[in-house]
Amino acid sequence: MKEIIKKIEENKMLLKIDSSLYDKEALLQASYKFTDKCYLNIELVDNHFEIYFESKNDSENLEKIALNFGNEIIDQQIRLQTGREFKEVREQLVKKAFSSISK
Amino acid sequence: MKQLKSNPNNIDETVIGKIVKQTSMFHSKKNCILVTDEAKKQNGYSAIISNKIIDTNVIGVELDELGELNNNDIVTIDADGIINIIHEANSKHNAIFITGRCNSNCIMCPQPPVKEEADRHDLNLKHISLLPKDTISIGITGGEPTLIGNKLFEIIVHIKKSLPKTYINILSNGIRFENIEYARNFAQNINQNTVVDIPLYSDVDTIHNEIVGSKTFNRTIKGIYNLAKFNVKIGIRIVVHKMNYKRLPQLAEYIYFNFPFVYQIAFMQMEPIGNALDNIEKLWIDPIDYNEELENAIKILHYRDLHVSIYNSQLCILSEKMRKFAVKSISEWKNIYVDDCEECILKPDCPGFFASSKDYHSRGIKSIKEIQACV
Amino acid sequence: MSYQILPYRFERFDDEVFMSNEVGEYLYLPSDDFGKFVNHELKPDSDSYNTLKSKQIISDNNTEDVLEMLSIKYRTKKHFLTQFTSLHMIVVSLRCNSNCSYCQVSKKDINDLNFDMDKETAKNVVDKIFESPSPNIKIEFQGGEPLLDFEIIKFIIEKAEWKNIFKKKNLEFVICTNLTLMDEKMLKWLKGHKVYISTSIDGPLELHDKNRPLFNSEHSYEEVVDKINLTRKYLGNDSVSALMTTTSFSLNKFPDIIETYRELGFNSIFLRSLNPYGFAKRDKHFLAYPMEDFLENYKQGLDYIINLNLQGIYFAEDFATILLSRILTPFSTGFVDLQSPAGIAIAGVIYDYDGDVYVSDEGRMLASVGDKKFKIGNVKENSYQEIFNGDYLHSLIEQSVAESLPQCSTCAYLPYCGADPVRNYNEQGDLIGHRPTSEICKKNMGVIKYLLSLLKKNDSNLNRIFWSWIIRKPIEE
Repeated sequence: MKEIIKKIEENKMLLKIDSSLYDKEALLQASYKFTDKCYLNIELVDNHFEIYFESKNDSENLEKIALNFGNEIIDQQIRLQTGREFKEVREQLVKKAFSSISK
Repeated sequence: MKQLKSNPNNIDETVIGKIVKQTSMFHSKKNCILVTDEAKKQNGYSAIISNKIIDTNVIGVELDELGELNNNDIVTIDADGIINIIHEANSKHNAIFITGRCNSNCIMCPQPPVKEEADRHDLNLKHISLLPKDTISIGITGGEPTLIGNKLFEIIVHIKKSLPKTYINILSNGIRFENIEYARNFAQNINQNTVVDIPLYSDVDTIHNEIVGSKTFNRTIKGIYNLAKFNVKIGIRIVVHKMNYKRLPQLAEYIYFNFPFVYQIAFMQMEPIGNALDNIEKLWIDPIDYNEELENAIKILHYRDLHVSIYNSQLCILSEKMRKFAVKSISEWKNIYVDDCEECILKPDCPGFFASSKDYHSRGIKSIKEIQACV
Repeated sequence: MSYQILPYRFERFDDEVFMSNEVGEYLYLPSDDFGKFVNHELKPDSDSYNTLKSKQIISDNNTEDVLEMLSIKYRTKKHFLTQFTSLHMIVVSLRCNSNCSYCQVSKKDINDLNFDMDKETAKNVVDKIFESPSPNIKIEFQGGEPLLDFEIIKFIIEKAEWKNIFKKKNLEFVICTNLTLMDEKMLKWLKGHKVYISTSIDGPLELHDKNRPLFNSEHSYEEVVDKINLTRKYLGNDSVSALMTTTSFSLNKFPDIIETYRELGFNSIFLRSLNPYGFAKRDKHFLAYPMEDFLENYKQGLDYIINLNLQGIYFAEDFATILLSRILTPFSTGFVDLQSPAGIAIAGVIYDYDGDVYVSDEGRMLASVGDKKFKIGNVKENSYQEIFNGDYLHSLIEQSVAESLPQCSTCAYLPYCGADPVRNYNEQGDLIGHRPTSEICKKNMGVIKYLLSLLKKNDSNLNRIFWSWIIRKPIEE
């Protein structure tokens, strides 16, 4: 894990994520969750997402954030994947629920 | 129902009638069956049951155990001398037996279904006419009552007419009600005093279907929803045994989430007879061993303000808190093979045992001599 | 056997995963099994498989039937939509005799009669109210201090009751008042009509007086208590309900506040955090507090209340009760402040003294400091359709559906939560809001997760207590 984290300065780090493993959407959803603690910048370099984190205040533990980010992107990918599987069912469900009042 | 074997005399076709044990010139003899020591004259009775038939012209039967019959019982006498006591005057749990056929094949069915039978419809209509006017409640059972289709509505309407205040309790697997028209017609024919009790054995379709012997989980649920659409009062019945006891709490939650409109829920101790006895290896668990799951399930439903009962369970094996949910549901007190029961202070309220539970009852049966004071 | 994955949301914990279905039925799955579930490798007939089926997160042969059941339950959960607007708040006057530290309504001087609602406006308000299709109508009088213009209250009640002879709605009135101006004459009049009183008690005497001083009196608490007793005498013991507001002065005092409510004969309390509007926003440097502090106090307060119940005293916490109803029952809960779509105008609406209509009372509070973003019309100038079915309201609602908001849409607790676009706009600058920094998200999620952790204990007594709140009556052990 530590190899993909590159510490730049005390409050800045770079995270590299293999772009073939995760959808861009999953990456963005995961990143969104950390925008309270950090400023983020995302770039696609070769076949990696490079995510640049700069903590908003000194008390943030960047390494912990990196570890959590790793788990978070997995969960977001799962949400995306299974979400595609049930997307149609959800739409049907809502449609059915309101079918008696729709025109 | 109780059945007696007798020697028939001149019985050509099935006779139905109300038992009368004392003669009087003032009461009507129509549709009555006299029980007397010696049968000498017909005297207008539909049949005579006696120790000895003296006049061979008499329509009646010879039976030794005259004590088995009580005043105002209703019986049928078949041509072969079988007496069926279809209504017990001293019992609170009487029912109209609609049919022995069933479209389920439950692994623990106490009364395995038949494939063919004689039509009971007219007999049942007469049965209803003979019921005492002060009957508090009457069941409609089988087999599966809905198998007689629209004729079931005739039965219900007749009960409503003869006994307008009587509660009607229909036992059905609910499958036929998946047809919305049938459900609608049914709802139009019943009154506010009618409840349909439907068995649901698990929150998981595969487990329920295995118990019921057919893949009818979804159809039963559809039946429940259709009945609910027409505001029919619905009860859920759960017979508890080894195949389903583990998920009782989950089933309780499932019932609440999916059928919050349900009128009552009953958990029933299994009767070890018929199919149940044949499959006893798969089914038998000492009821005391599922107390935890049962208690959880009951609490779940009770906290949600639903009406929940325990049927057929001896009070001593239930925890004190659970005893208030127990119903005195077995009509007979037979063969008390645990002598202890005589000394038990809870005996008057306890449903006791099925006669068939002789070999299969809890190891936890014991007399309760005193109730612990609440802390 | 392959299975179909049905709509669900999840959150990961240490060795298990919390999963909820589309209507909020939930379960905890061991982490290993969750991985297998996602990859369609979960073993049929295993406990996890069966439980997922039972909670309708997977189906293997009867998806159509399961979908049918889910849609019925979904419709039930969203039932509040079919009623449309049932809560109608009317600001009868902005004048006030109180000087609450956190005043959110921009009250006016007690003698400035320009800020009373006039009869023509009131008549228009009543007309608009009865155009609502909802079979239940609750008219809530607010202010300022509404009792300062009792005449218009009477006028509105009489007009509404007259109209209701034809409309035949389930009609109820509530007066939100500090009660200090209530007198016997008013009570005698109110007795003849179906009126409830909602007042504010922030805590024991010292705390209440500090938070809610009156202009002309040193004895705010005592006067309110006096009037509560008087009101109960005329309108009945259950005629008065009370709310509290938490300021920084209230922190660490929740048990005392709860005891005060008990002493005053209430059997429930709504532990409310401070809404950041009006003076509360202006003076937040000494009135406000970090949301973490509120959450800590809330949990303490809830634990205290649970303990009371364990001792046999029936007392409920109202916010927990609402959330528990959402977590544990299949039913819809009408709580306009937290639902999806948000309750703005479609569940609750407010009519200002001048006839302006706002989507919520917070929307009106923003207007009183100059931002009329949430005004949707005026009762004298616009028709019912223009106000309640206009494009502007449509656009507001579209942005307040939690199911489509960032982070909310995949949040495991979505079924229990809601959207608050007015709060988002006020605190974060836009209707959609930014979830990671949202205080309201922090609060709601904090309380929801705490309740779920209590439920996870599977403690019989705790469950019984929670259910006694939901079904609104004590349950014997």
